[in-house]
Amino acid sequence: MKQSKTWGIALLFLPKWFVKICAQKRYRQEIETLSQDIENRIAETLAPIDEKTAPKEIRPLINAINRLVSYFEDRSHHEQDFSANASHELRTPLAGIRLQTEIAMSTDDPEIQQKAHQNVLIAIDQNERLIEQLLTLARLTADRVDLAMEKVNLEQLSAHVIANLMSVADEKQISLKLESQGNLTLLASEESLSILLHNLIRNAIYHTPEGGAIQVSATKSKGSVVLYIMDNGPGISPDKYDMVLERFQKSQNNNKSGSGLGLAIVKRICDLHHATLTLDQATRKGGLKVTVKFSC
Amino acid sequence: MRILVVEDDKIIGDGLLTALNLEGYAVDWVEDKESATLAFETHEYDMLLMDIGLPDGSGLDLLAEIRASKSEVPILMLTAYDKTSYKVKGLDTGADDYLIKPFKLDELKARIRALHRRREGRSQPLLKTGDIELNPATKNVTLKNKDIALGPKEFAILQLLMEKPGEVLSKQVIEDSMYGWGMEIESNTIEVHVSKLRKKLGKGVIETIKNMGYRFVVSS
Repeated sequence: MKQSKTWGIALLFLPKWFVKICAQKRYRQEIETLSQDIENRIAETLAPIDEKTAPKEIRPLINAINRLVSYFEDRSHHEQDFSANASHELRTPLAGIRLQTEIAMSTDDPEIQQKAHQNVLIAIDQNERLIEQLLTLARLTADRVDLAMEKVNLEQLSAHVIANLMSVADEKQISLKLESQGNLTLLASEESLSILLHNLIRNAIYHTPEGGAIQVSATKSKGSVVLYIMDNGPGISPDKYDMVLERFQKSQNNNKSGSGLGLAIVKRICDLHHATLTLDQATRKGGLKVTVKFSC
Repeated sequence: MRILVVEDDKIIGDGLLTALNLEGYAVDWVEDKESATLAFETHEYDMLLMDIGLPDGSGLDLLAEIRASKSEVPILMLTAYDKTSYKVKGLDTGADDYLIKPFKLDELKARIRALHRRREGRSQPLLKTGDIELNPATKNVTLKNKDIALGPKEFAILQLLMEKPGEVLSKQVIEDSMYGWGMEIESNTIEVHVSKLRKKLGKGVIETIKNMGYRFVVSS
């Protein structure tokens, strides 16, 4: 005991340079071990590095590395899921095209051939729309999204999108109305906003039965511009609200030709504009009400 | 042979219905799990073709339910997911085989024939009884090595009878295996086809058992 105390005192008198060298040597060894550990991880596992064995001074660095690795791991899972889903969605219309073409080639019956050819065209349309949406979503979820923000008149843009979709609504004898109040200008990406409106209104048309009604309204309230899209279709069960906003998720209401990307794109556009997206029942009887609130 | 197609994609479902009808199979097509369960409970099927990703619940659940009901109907699953884990899950849940979308029609037909053959306990692709030989793949029938031209319905009846030589099959069983829902059938259609078959293959080949049905006579 006495001896160690003496040693301790003796250490105090060791030259500073000597202590420094010893400490540096120890650090170097520890950092080398750590480097080796990280090196091994690149090849084998993405498990977090154990910070406890590292010198105290570099623990914050290790924590930061762990956070970075976990971010990339999440992203990589996300992308794997995305490709698996995208490949599933792309294969389906292709399977239809292949099958119907083979049918047309294997029969002499002109009626069967005609129907098969029509089906091929429908499947090609589905594929085209899907590819378009996949590209839109990829563009909007890239690491850096530079949206060209400009002053957009929501009323004019809504009227424009509605005019484009009118023929689709007419086919189902659905009444499509726009209601708007006052000067509704907001700072947004016109292209994205147009996609948002298109997807929401098209969804509404898709889910509303023949002879139904859809109302689009834009209003201003307390420093925000609010867009509502209401339909009298079957609506979505409230416990599915979160799910339908996920990529590749389809509601169960008979939506078989949809890509399951429309609402995910809408959600992403809302996020990029710091707008809130809410799903609700349109009336007590049902129907879906989508609310998008932009703060200005 | 009567096949239940469970497929939620309209273009593929319609294609399977048309293609398999052209092949001479009776096909019923449903688009969701609930209708599939109902169809399965109310009809006898020789095979199920099913998509794994259905709108009202996973096709895997349907698969599990069918196997839990002790049914041994051959099931061919169709899936657009090409992950191995997915295929393994399907096969382990009770599917007998799978095809990845998009698939070639010829391959689908061959797999259906192979599954059906296994179900019947045969490994020989050709059906041969006495002087008559029937090839399910080429739809070719020979009598004493000479080709005999048969219409698709005649072929279907002959195949059905030859798969169970010596066994009596009722008119109803034959009709069910040839006509899906909504297909019109005259009351004497089967008789007409059987009589044509007798003309082409010889009178004694198919025997009528009064009030019971028909059977393929195994010549000694």
